[in-house]
Amino acid sequence: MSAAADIERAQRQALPFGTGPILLGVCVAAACAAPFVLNGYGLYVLNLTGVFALVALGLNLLTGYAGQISLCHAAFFGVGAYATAILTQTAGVPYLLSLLVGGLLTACVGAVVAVPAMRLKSLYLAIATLGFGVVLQKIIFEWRSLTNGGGGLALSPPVIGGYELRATGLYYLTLAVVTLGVWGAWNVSRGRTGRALLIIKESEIAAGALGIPAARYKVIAFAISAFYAAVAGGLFAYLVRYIHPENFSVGLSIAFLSMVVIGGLGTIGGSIVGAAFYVIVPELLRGIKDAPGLVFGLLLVIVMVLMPKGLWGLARRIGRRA
Amino acid sequence: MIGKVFGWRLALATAIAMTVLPAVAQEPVKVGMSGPFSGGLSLLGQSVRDGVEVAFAEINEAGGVSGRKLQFIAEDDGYEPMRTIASARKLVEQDKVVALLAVTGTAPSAALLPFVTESKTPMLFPYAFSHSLTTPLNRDVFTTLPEVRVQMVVLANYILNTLKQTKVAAIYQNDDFGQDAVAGLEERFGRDKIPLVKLPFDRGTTNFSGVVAQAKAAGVEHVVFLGIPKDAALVMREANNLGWKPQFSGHNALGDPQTFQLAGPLAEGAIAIAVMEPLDSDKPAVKAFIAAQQKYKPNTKPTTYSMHGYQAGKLFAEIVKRAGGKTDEASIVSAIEGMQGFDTGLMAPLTFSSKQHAGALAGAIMKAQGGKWKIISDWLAAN
Repeated sequence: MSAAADIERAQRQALPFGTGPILLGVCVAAACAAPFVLNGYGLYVLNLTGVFALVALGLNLLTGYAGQISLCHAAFFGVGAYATAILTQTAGVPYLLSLLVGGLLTACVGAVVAVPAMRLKSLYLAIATLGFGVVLQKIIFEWRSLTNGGGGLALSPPVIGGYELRATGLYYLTLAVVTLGVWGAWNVSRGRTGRALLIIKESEIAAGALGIPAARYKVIAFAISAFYAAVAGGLFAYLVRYIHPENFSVGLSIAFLSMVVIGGLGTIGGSIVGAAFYVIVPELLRGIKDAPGLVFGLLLVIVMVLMPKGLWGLARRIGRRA
Repeated sequence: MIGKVFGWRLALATAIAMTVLPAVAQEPVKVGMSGPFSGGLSLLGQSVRDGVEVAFAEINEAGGVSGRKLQFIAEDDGYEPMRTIASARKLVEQDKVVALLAVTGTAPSAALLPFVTESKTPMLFPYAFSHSLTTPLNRDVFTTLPEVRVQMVVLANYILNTLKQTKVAAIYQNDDFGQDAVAGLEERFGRDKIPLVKLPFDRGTTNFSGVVAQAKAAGVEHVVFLGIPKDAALVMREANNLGWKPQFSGHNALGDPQTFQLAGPLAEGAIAIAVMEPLDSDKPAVKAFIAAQQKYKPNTKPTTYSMHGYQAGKLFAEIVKRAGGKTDEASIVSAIEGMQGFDTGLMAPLTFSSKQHAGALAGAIMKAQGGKWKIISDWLAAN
């Protein structure tokens, strides 16, 4: 699909009145009702899906829209997790505030990563971000006085307004943040920034000719994307309540990229579907040795060959036909 | 007539009830495990699982415990803590297991601490060597394997008291494990005011010429190596290239048959801490374990990991027996806390109490002799 068509689509992407809002309403209602239906295990898996969906939403803005590959999102995720945990646990900052501060802090880190990204493209950028991810992970590991290094950081349940968040409370918090995240990504993708990013992906020269400062928009895309990953990290830290530097390895960055690609590059629904696939399918396949990796790998291949728009693209095609 | 029919039915109902009721009373005891069965550490996870399965098969064939069979459910987590939590939640909330047994890995078991504490699920005998599992005390967590700091105190005692060597260097992996181990050594050396030469290296390095040359230049007679056996072999080779023959020693990982494959004859004479009996030990309990694994899982190989799993399975049966067949959390915890000097024959005798949930604060000295690790001391306490 050409850039022009993409941009045109971006402008009039509002769902046709009718099935769209109804479907969305059903999804939201189901998500709200989940804690009453599921046991703690199911709720945990769903909560984890929400956390990864948030990362995928941010990464999709960067990779799906702007076409910039990042292999350091696990590190952004980790910096967010550690920043939120340390601010809350050690400095005594209220949890919601430290989520926000952790996110902003990591957005700055993301902007710094974007500096080499202004000069590098495709594979070269991937390698540069890979290096950056390794460095960030190493810093978390070595800064023992702050992060407790390889000993990991154990966290007590977060408190909001005197109310201790347990599984259900945390789930609703994640749901609220994901909703905000979808709304934010929706706005960014349809606004000036989203359109600028789409042109940059297609051709930086063309973007320049149109007077779009590619460098500035790339920095913005990296910063927003890092912000999403970091807030997700802050939620993750308190979901598992034990974080360890090795959680945030390159393997997780690749998993994030896979979620975005499997779900559908450049789509919001795809980010959520991709995250759900990544978390829920291995849970359903428990008991079959190595099956999660095998199915995941095979599906990546199938998606790449047969579904250039990912699972979400397929769902939309079926939806349109019905 | 009607009364007769009714009576016949009543008799039938009673007969059914009598055959069904004992079956209900003999509901199996469900136990869960989470470990890496896929990915890079799958061999470790699968081995521990095999061990537990062998023990349970053996126990069930002999009629179970207090009339109840043991049922084992193992879940894969790929050594990712976030998936370990999912595994544990599935096991406890969905499968209703009474305890988590032999959870494999240090970070995965540490990640389970909040969950097991809040859900009051006993987490028994994980395959992990970390300090944080039992310090501070967690009501529901019990370990058998002595943490590396304990091992180092045992080793330092042996170096100073038996070998009477005072020029000692520690070549250690510069991470949490290595630093923890060196802290244990230093504490014991510090008590005798004997200096310790500390030479760190980064994990993943393959060039040890620098640290070995430094150790040699420091005039050291004993090198404590703290890392994986592959790196230990490289250090031994490097020393050999320099024509230098210090006494080598290390923690339990060095005392693995793998060390001989990697270092060959250079490993001869090295010392390692044994946390469990070696596989080729002549102890009857070890022979029984190997025979059991060959009988119940003939396609798998006995390893030190499966020995840990086997022992965990046997210990669990002992706990249920001591609790009189009751498997609620309080009964399990008090049954374990009542174990005094319990000898499985596979490691140091285990003693638990309400104040001490690390069952063994002891290790033995192993020596490499003729391509085999031989235990040359009793089980030595770390204090």
